[in-house]
Amino acid sequence: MIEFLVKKLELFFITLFILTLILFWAHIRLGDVEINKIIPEYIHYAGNLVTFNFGNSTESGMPIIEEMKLFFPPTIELLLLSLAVSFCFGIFLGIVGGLNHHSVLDKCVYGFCLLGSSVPVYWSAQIFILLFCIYIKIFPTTGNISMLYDVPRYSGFMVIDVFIQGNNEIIIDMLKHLTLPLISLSLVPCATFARITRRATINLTQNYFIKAAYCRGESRFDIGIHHVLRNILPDIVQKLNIIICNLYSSCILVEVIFDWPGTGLWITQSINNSDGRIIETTTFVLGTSFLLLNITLDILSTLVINRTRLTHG
Amino acid sequence: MLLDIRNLSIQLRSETSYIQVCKNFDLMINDGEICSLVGSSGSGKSLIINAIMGMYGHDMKVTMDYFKFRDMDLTNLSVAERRKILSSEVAIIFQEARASLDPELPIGVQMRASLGSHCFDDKWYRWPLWRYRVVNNILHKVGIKNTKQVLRALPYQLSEVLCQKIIIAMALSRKPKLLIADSPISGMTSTSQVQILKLFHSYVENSKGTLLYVTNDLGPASNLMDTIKMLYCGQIVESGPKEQVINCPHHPFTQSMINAIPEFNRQVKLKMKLDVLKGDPPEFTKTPIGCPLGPRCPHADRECNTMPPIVKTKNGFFRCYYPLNMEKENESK
Amino acid sequence: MFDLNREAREIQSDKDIAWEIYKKSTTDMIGLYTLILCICVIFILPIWVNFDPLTQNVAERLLPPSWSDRGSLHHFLGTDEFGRDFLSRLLIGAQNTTKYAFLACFASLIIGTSFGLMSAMSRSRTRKGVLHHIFDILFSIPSILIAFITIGILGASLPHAALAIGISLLPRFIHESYGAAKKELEKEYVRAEISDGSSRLHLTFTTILPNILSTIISNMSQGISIAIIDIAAVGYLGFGAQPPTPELGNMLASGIDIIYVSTSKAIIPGVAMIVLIASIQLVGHGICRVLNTGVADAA
Repeated sequence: MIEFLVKKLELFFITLFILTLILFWAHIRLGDVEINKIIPEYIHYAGNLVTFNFGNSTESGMPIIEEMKLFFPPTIELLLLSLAVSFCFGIFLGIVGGLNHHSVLDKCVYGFCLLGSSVPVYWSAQIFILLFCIYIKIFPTTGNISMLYDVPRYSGFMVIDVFIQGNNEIIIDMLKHLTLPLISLSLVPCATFARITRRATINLTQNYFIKAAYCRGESRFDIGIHHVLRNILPDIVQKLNIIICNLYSSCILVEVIFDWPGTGLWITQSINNSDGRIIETTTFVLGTSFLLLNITLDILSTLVINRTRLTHG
Repeated sequence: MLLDIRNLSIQLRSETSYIQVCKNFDLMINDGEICSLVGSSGSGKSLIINAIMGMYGHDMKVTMDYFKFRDMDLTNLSVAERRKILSSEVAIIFQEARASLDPELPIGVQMRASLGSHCFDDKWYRWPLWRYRVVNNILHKVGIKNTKQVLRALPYQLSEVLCQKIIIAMALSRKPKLLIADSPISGMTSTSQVQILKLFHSYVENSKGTLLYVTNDLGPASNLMDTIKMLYCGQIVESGPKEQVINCPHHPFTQSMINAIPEFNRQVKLKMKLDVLKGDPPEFTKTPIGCPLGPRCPHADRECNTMPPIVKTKNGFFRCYYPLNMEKENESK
Repeated sequence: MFDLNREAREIQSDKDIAWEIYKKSTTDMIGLYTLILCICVIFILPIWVNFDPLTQNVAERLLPPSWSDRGSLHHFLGTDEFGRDFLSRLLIGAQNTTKYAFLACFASLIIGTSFGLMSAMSRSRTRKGVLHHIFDILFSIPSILIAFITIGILGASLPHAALAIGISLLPRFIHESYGAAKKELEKEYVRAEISDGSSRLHLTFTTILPNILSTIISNMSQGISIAIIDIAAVGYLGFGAQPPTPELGNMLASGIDIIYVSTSKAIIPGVAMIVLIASIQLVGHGICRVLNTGVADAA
């Protein structure tokens, strides 16, 4: 286990090094750097990146760290909430569809998986806005809270801050603002989870022990929860990596459409303003966090698969 | 009569049409009897068990005239309802022991989960933690000494024999009225087979239960059986008490199964041929018209192109136009 | 074995058997017909019919599709805000997006699968590790961000967007082909082949590659879908094909701008994209099912 961790950490540092090289190359192309003093420039640049000394943004003049603290929490809360929602719904739908193979329910689940993976998220978000905000007028269009309310910043996460404040009206308003971005962001991961779970469950029901469980009289609900869930978890954890990376890409687009004050909006604005520093530093922070996420998921998948697959044929 | 099934017929779905696998199958088991169904591989034994228990999906079509289990008429019920009623009274032991256990749950969890609340038949104050007690007792009964280790283990850490004993323990702990065993000792060494068969012996003697034993090997388990039914191509070709079938077989198929049991106290000449029927069992899409053993039978004649009628003997029946050993039968009469 | 009623003369070839198995599922057949229709309309029809996506005709701006009141049959799906024929823009735009998506995905597939196979088959641990993880850096940066960086450096245009999306698809193919090849290498028949004396090259092409073909094809169909969506996403944000070149992404963007005036311009490109991607996924799923017939525990 220790050997495994050490190998992963080695990989992490090597990849981080390559990341700084790539960003330095981008820095050279975007800005003006003297070609003679490339090595000292690189050390200076990499040192700045690693110690989180990002400097000030050229547009607003604020330190980039402060801007990050402003923009990262809304993105993280949107990501976590939509991951939780799509995980629960997707696995539920997948197990239901897999256990009822060859029935109408299963065909509906398959159809949902197909459509969910084919719909581009920016288009479906706009259609939701058209339907629910313009024609039916339930949800508001933009932002994560109405302009009229002034919520003091405790943690930066709007969900937590609003609950700390405790005013019911504001809570309801926050939930209304949260619903549409959450639904349009969760559609694709939900379809992906459902597809993986359904395929894994269909493969699992061919096994003897599921048939033996049916013989003992366990209902489909019991089998789904006790037997199926634990056996398909390794398959899901393997794909979690890709799903989260795609989720973040969709998150950028959703933030642009819904004016959600998160990193996606920030990055696109800085590209429009040609602010190179923000792009580089954000890429560095995002790259590092995703690398750490990869390592955590690798360790998690080894733990989950460890027990049965290693010695079993 | 514990189980009474008349005229069971099973059809499997193929790409184009339905293939008839089993036709005119009757099964009658009395209380406390050990009935055994013997047939070669691929004669449809496991399919029949699946059909009885209702363990099939949309790819199998099952029809029967009459299905009675312990005075309950289950003929007209749907598959799911039949399965629900039968699951609390019947227990099945499958062929592959380790594959019948969930690979991700410890044994103790699975054994406790298989005990439904209807298995509790003790005094009311012993209700807390009754599952742990029952599981421990039953493991001792099947002869497993180190219960603590076994209960914490996962199936891949245990040997095949141990897994089969655990499956039998799980089945017995639910106190079924009928125990169905589908080739439980295939793939084991002889010493392991003896251990499992001893368990079945003790089950039969202690709880006077009923056992339906399905196998393709007459040899090891023949001490256990009371009645033997020989299955060929989905039809019962001979049925009767054990002594009658083994000592005085009437159907050529039964004779060939008995000849196939190796006898090591016989004088064997160099390069002597094995005593088997020529050819292979027919595929289900090309079953012969009339008697299914027709093309392979050494005693067949023109009459065997039609289905032989049932000829009743003292305690059983057979279906053959040219039965063997009829003189012995007449003598015993 | 598949149809025992036929006479022994008519022995079916592998292709016939595969086609019969594919035909069994109606949804896959619908997907196949839809995909063939889409490809004909998008790629083959413009050779004969002269589609004209670029001519502006300000007098006939924002006409609705021909099935509503003010529409005319001359412009079948109406016109956009500059008076350009919408049907031509849709078809040529779909052609642009799909062309570059296929290109990016195929290039990525070939490079990624060869890297994955090489790393699975190599014997030295450093080479294995290097080949496997060399593009992991791309795994950790989201695809849109890679597109931003590439376009920031090279400039905004459709080929550059396709290059960026192709780069972002690379690590996924490497990981998947490595995993599939490793699973095959642990099986007994591969060990039997090695002990029979086959070289690593022979082993790769004769044994491993045909057996991981189903994984590769399912990844390819997913990869094409992701490539189309991502290239259109980059176009939506304005960093892909520049106007006046039509492309599904920037058509969606301009459609959203005029969504209150004429909703059809926003809905039609989206529906076209959904139909295209759904049919690609159905065909991919059908091919995998054909390749996995008779394989137990098929993923």
